[in-house]
Amino acid sequence: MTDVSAPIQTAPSAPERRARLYRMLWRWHFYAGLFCIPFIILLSITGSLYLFKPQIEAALDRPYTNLVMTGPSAPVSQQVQIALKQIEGSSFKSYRLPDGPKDAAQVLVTKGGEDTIVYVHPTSLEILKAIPREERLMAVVRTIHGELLMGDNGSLIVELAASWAIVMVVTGLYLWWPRTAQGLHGVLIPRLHAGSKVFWRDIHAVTGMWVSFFALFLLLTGLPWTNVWGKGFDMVRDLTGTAAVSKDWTQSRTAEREATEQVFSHQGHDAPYYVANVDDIAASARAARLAPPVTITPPNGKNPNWMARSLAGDRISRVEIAFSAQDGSEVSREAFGDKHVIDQAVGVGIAAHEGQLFGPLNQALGVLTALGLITLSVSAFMMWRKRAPEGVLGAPPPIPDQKIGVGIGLLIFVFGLFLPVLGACLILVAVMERLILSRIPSTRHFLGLAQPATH
Amino acid sequence: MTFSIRALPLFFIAFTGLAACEPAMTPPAPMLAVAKIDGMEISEPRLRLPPNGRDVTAGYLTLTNSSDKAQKLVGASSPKAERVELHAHLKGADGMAQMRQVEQVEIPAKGTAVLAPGGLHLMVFGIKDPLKPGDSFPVELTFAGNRKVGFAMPVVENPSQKTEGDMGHGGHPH
Ligand SMILES: [Cu+2]
Repeated sequence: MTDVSAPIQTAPSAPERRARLYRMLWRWHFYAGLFCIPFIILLSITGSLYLFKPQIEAALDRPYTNLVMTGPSAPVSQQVQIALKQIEGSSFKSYRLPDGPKDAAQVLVTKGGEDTIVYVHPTSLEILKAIPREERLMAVVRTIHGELLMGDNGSLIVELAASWAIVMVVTGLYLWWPRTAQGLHGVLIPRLHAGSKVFWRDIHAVTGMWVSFFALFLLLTGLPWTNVWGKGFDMVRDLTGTAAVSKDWTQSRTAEREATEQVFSHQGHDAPYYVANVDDIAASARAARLAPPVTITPPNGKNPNWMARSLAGDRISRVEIAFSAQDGSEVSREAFGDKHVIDQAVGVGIAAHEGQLFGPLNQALGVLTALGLITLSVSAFMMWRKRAPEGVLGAPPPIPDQKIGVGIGLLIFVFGLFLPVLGACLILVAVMERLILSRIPSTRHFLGLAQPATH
Repeated sequence: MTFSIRALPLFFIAFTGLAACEPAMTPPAPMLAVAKIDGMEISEPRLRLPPNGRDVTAGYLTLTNSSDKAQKLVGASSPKAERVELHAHLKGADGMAQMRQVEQVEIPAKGTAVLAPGGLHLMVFGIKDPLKPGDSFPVELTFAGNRKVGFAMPVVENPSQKTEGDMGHGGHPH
């Protein structure tokens, strides 16, 4: 696309430099959009759905709440045992405390690294439902949103699209920043009746002005989940000694599955009556009055203690308590405020990304941002189709001599470093363009690339 | 954008519809009570299976006091056992946990007392008939003022204990 070159011999004038930069960013914005738009639409739709995860799951679980009780509730340990029998050879992974006394117990059992949620009637001990954890509706939506149902490869594509989308928002802001506008029309209010060209231009520019900040926020807060950026982030924290003891987000399902398979092993002989079992931890966890949903997990290869964890969506009211595997006494308690300040920041970012930080308003902002992103995509497509001549892609024309200043070069370098997937992609594209695409006249013409410099 | 403006009420209805399906906001509720007495609920009773050949074991439960005054549990008994004592686990001077009999267990107003391993429990001595998991064991609690309440404690198994040698079973990479 462009050349990062050493200081130019004949320095162009300031307006010319600006025009050149504008043209260059326009081209970046165009090519990035071409790649990103399908993913932005997919992520916006799945993201909007996922914003309502608590409500949707509450609706899906409604048949398993307020059950008809046929006597006293069975002890938790019996509920767990029934669930374990349902999946032959499985181990107990966690128990979700029912929100109400007449709700089904949700026992998570694991076998061969695959988790299944078993719904158990608290009095009759009937199995009401058993569903692999990854097959639940919201888990599927999440998997599409995070990895396009393609595992780690999908995660990489999402990360790449998100990285390019950040470039798009930044370049878009530069391109449509109101330098010469008079009044709010065409900046914050679209001109809807000034012909179709102005209409689509304004829809794009005005929506962009409104949602850029929120879109950028969603894109940046999504990064900790990604494979390359997220793992790099963890690595930087390890190196700088700011690592979390336990972080509550993982990068991929592959990582999660491996973690599970290694940790839950089989058990030996019976302990005496003064050693805590799941009944005791459930009772203590209930008495601790943690914010819902609350799960308890048995001691395992990774953690010698029983754990009771609040998985509250806002992350701020999350508390986790460790109970001794011996006598069930409380060993330690960690609230959100006890976490490392970086984890607190990431946690708040994630909660806002998921629409769970400040109630319905947070969800509404998420939906509006997603709608804004879809509007941007649709209007971009319309503008492109209206402008693109027959037979070519319709990219903005390249800068004649392809030279840019050192400052911009540095900026690109910094972006490439901060978003490594973007950086790798830039190098790949530059090499491909230089070596192949620009040298074949027909593809060069179609893609709107510059003629390679002849030395 | 014209289509989105026209669709706005639809979005609004969908949004409020979903928002109406509120998930739980309060902490998980206590389990269904097995007995009640003067604003006090007894839940999650369970008796641990006595160890092989023994007639002694411990019983656990949760007492939730929703009344405005503190309540006192002062005794317990069972027709199926010689005697039932109120016990506490206390750390002795040597650091070893020891069991001691206690006179009473106080449940503060609007408070909860959790009887569980490592703390308060019902110590059951002289169990008359052999027990197996799933059996019911009748118990009667006595509160201050000679107020009594009876219920059944289900017999539950003791936890399986992990031992060093078992760690390899799960396929750990060594
Ligand atoms: Cu005792």
